[in-house]
Amino acid sequence: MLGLDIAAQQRFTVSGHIMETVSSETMIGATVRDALSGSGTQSNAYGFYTLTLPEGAVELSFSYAGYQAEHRKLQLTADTVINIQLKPNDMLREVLVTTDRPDAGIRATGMGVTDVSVEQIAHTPALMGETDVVRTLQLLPGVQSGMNGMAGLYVRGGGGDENLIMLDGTPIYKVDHLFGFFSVFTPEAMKKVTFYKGSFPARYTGRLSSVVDVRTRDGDMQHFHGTASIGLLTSRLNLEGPIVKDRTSFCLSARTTYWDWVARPFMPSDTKFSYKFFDLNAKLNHRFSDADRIYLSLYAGQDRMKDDYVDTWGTHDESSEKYGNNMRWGNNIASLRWNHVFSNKLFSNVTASYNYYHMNLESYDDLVEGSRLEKSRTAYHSKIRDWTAQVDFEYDPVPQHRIQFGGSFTYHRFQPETWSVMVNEQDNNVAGVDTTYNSPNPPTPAQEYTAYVEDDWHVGRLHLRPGVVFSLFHVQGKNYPTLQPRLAARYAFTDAWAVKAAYTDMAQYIHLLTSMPIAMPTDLWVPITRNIKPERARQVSLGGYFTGWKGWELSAEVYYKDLRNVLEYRDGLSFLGFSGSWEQLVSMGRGRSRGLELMARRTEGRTTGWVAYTLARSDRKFDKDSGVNAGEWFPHAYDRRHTLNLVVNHKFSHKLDLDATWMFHSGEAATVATQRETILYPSGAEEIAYYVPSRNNYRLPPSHTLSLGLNMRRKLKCGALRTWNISIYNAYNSMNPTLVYRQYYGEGYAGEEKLVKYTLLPIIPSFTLTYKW
Amino acid sequence: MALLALILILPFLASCENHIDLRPDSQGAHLCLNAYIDADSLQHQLLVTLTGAHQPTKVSGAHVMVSINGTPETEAVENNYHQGYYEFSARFSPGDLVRIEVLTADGAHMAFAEEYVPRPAELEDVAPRLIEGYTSYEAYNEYGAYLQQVDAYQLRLRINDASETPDYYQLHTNWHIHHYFAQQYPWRGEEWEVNEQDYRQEGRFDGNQDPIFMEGHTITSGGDFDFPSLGHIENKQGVFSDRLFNGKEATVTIYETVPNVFLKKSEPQDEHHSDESEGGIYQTRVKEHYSGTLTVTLETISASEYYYLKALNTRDSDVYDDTSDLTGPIKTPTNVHGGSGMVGFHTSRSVTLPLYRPEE
Repeated sequence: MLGLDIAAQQRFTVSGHIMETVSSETMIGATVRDALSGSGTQSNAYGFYTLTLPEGAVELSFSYAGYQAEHRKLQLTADTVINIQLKPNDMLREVLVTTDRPDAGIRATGMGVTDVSVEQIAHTPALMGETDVVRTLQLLPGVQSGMNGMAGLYVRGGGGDENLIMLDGTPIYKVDHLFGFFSVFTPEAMKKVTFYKGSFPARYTGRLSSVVDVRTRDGDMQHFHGTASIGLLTSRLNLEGPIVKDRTSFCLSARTTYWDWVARPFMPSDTKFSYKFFDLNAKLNHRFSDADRIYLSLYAGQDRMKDDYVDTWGTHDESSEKYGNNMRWGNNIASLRWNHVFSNKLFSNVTASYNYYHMNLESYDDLVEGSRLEKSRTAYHSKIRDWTAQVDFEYDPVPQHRIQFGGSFTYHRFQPETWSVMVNEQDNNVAGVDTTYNSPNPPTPAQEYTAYVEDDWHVGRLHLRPGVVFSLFHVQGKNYPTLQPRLAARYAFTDAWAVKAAYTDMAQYIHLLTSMPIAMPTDLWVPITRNIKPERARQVSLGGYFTGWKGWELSAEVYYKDLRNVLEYRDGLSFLGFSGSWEQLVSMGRGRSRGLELMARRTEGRTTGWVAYTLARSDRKFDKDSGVNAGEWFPHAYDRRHTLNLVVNHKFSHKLDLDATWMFHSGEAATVATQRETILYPSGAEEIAYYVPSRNNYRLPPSHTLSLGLNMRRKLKCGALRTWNISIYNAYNSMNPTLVYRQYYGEGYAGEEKLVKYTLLPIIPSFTLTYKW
Repeated sequence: MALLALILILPFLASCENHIDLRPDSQGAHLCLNAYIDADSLQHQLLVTLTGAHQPTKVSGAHVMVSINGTPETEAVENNYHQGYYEFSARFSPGDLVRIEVLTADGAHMAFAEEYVPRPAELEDVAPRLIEGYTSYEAYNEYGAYLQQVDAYQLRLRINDASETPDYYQLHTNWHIHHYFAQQYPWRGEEWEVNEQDYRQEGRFDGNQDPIFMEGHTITSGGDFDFPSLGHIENKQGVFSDRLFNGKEATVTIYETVPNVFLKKSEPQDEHHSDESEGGIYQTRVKEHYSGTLTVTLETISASEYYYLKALNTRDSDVYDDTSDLTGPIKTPTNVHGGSGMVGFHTSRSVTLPLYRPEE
């Protein structure tokens, strides 16, 4: 089946881990290459590599962007373990090397894949000084930000909930803070981010449009060190070091806001309002031997908004009403991983994880009016608990094949929209209404089984990666089996230029119901049900890649994506506070996206960066009786025809660098009332109202935003490195349309209809001070 | 929408506002059909209009054909006094597929609606109870909802769901009020002059605390901040589905506000009148009495009418605003192919309750 090549010549395997020399941090995606045979491989997500070569002389080179390459010459006469430590390249201190992209570049079989280094994230000018991986991803071709200025991801015409965003391999549900302006990923805790928008490896499933695989730092095995920073919005602290040198290490990272403490003294006495969020990442890892290693990863992140009010009235303030809300939402994730090297050809990773997403809103209202007492308490919860067991294997039987296979089982427990209402009334100490209502919907358990196999197969200049995923989702007594074939192919005409093609089939079993362009805490994650089928996406893509100019990478990709069973709110129902079950509010339909993505990237030198252009179109269609746009095609949210992103990072010296991004996109599709209609009420009353002929019927003006960041570094006498970052978001104060609505100006027929345009994020300067020791 | 207001005033998100020109719509006018057809009645009417960039217009001279189960049944005739309204007579039965097709006189616009006539549910006994000082979630103003203390009848309505398929309902109430007014002029004699008058008025009820009526999203008293869904949509149109009692019996509790006039006492009262022609100040004796019946009607409506009325609930709530920036404008649901509007059919069951104050 796999076409195993049994060579006459004896072969042996070189394997081991690749680490940083200073911290012993494992390196993901480091390149290993034998100069004599031309064979090569990359280290996996845990720094492990394996390479089978013919017996005899080998000349191995180990390389990673920004590090000095290591070389080993040896006579290969038996299976050999070589652990390598790479040193940072001091010669490159004044040069920014952003990538060698072994997983994602021209040499990779897959397409539509980008490795995003922590260095690149740090060098993307940030809103409020909060460096953010999602804002870096938004600059890549094929990615839209959603509403202007938000940290949303809309990839190749997909929805905002169609991204599989994983923290150390565990999917994370609530990926943003502060209504979607910032993502939950603390930059100091991250080691590497890999972004997939096409040719998804078979080990990923569960979302339709993209995968964001975020890996966190393991912790320095050699030395204690840390980073502390203070900015306008948050403060951050990162500590890491050995617990037992070369055996056990930890990495602890925390971020929190503090501006509610600052604002509190300025609030009126009868009002208390606070908003804050935090993230806490902790990781422990222990190396038993070269063959066994365990990792314990913990994450907790939460937003909290609280308000309390007091109203008093009456001659002597004898009547009063106290009311308020306490809202908390976020994720808690725990995962335990065990890496085991069975042999130099077989690597395994066993994971057990727990994932808890929650949104709690508790409200109270205590009314005292004369002899009358009235109390009400409402509680509204949405929760998801996932328990997952997963095993993954990487098997390199012969040099031409790397086979990855594995499986997982997840027990989901969904509790969307559960609520209780308590009403208690008394009058003259006589009990009145004393009732508690509870929502009728019990928790929905679901089981998800997944098995996959994939082979990375090299046949001369042709690389193939066939794979298949089988998954089964069991919910409400119904089974939804899906078979998701994948195929990626690459043909290299020369070392400098290659073409690639890919076919990907994905299934999605959970959806995010959201009513607004901003990320509301009340957005609901819901599973498929006996009535709501899994969403499916089939994507084909084709691309050409050229690296013939030193320090440059050029790429062009086209894609077509077909979507089935996508969900949209019915017309007129996409609002907060709507009654009824969520299943009543939505309909299933189909979608299609197609586009062209061009990218030119400068990867070496004092000035690096890229220019990316996207031509895209995405639309949706639902049945005539679906209640969605009368069954007609309509543009998908954030459908923007042209997008141009420019990223420039210039390093003046090792003390000073300047980063700039410029984002341009043509007008997005918005729903605007362009006519008036007659509404007839059952009572017979007529009313003239705004009329929307079709969803997303109007093109807004184009948007463009320049953001700048200046980093000034200085080594202090105490040995710490101090960095001042000064950022300006929307540097020339472009009045981009974030939100629009129609308004009538003037009186009678002499007036004029205009669109009111809100720009939510005008020019915003910020600073961040960071100490690293 | 306190939360949304807070979002927008977050100190670091200083928003800016500008005006831009609104490009004219290139799609042209759409034919808009609207009707609420009572299948238990013989006489029906349809409103035909055209959407417009500035104003909608009523359509005259249109050709309106009504078909039942694929067979042309009748043509509607335009009402001479109400432009845009077309009337027709037809008898509909539950399960009939009715198609109403409209072609404008110039032939430029054609649209049709097709609906099945729903099957009625059973509405059973109600047990009225007067609650004095009931806290009603009564009205809206620019600051949101506020509460009102009213006298109300608590009505417990027992509903037998129409079928095990999804059914949709609309509940409404109507008062039939009898006004008795008598005056006695002692200086003229012992006789009472009696005036009696009957009139009808639409009822006002509050079902905000009933989980079935509110489909899970009850609204308790407490103002703008009490319910966690961050915005109230009052069920003004009184529509709900059988999601919580499909194929079964359920009890829905609503509170019908007692009309103000109905609260007046009926005991004779003396009124002083100054009548110069009679040469001085005299006492007139007055007896005034209101009694009445309350009719509770449960209509089984089509799914499209349910969603249309839900959208009207949204449109009329404080969550929605024509000039809302975050929620955007509503695209009104429609079951009209080739146009807009809603042609709904309903069948109904009613109960009538004689109501009076207990002390009377």
